[in-house]
Amino acid sequence: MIPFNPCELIQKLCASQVEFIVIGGVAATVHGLDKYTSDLDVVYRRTPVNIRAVVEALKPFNPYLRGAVQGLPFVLDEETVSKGLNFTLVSDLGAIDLLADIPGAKDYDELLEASTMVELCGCQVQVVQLDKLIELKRSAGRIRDFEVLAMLEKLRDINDTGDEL
Amino acid sequence: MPDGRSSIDDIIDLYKKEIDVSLIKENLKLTPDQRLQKLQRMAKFAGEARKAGEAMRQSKRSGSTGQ
Repeated sequence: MIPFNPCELIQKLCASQVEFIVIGGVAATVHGLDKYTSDLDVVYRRTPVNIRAVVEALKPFNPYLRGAVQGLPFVLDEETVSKGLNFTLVSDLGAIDLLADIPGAKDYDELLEASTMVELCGCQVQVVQLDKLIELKRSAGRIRDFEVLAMLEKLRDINDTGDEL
Repeated sequence: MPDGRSSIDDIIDLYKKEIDVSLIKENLKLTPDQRLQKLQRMAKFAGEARKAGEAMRQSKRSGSTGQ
């Protein structure tokens, strides 16, 4: 079982100057949700420079297609990332979803406008805002997200009423 | 559906009734970084719990549980 080390994943992405936005369960955690998640979901900018940075950050940690049979000739390199879009990976630092195209977000820049810089694990990291996170979850339309959506909306209610403490 | 709501909203409302808001409120007392550190600790604990569970099942399979 590979441990999930979200801080180290984030630190490696930052060290390689990857442009990325944290979404999903880790973003929900950052906003205050008390629910365990076992992967880091990030949306990355699709430029050659950034794709190179993504590869530089993750390649040393043996990224592989999550859930795929062992032994496939998968290599996370610039060509693979350029020709793909979304990658569901496992690595020595845990599971990470590298996403470029997600329901509910037109493109990276639109998502960036709905994100906030947060200090995490010693890095300045873009994290999607709560309202947008809810929108993304709703757009995904997955049954397993219903409970999380309810929690996120409760969280928003608490924030809106200033009742957080 | 009135006021732009869908059946999904009704489902989410059902889930909302079961939510322990006190856990969320406790979490909101932490900084974002502290919340992530907490997740990291949970991840570590989950890994250890999984290992312990696997060891327990292995022990049962090999019949050395003393039962």
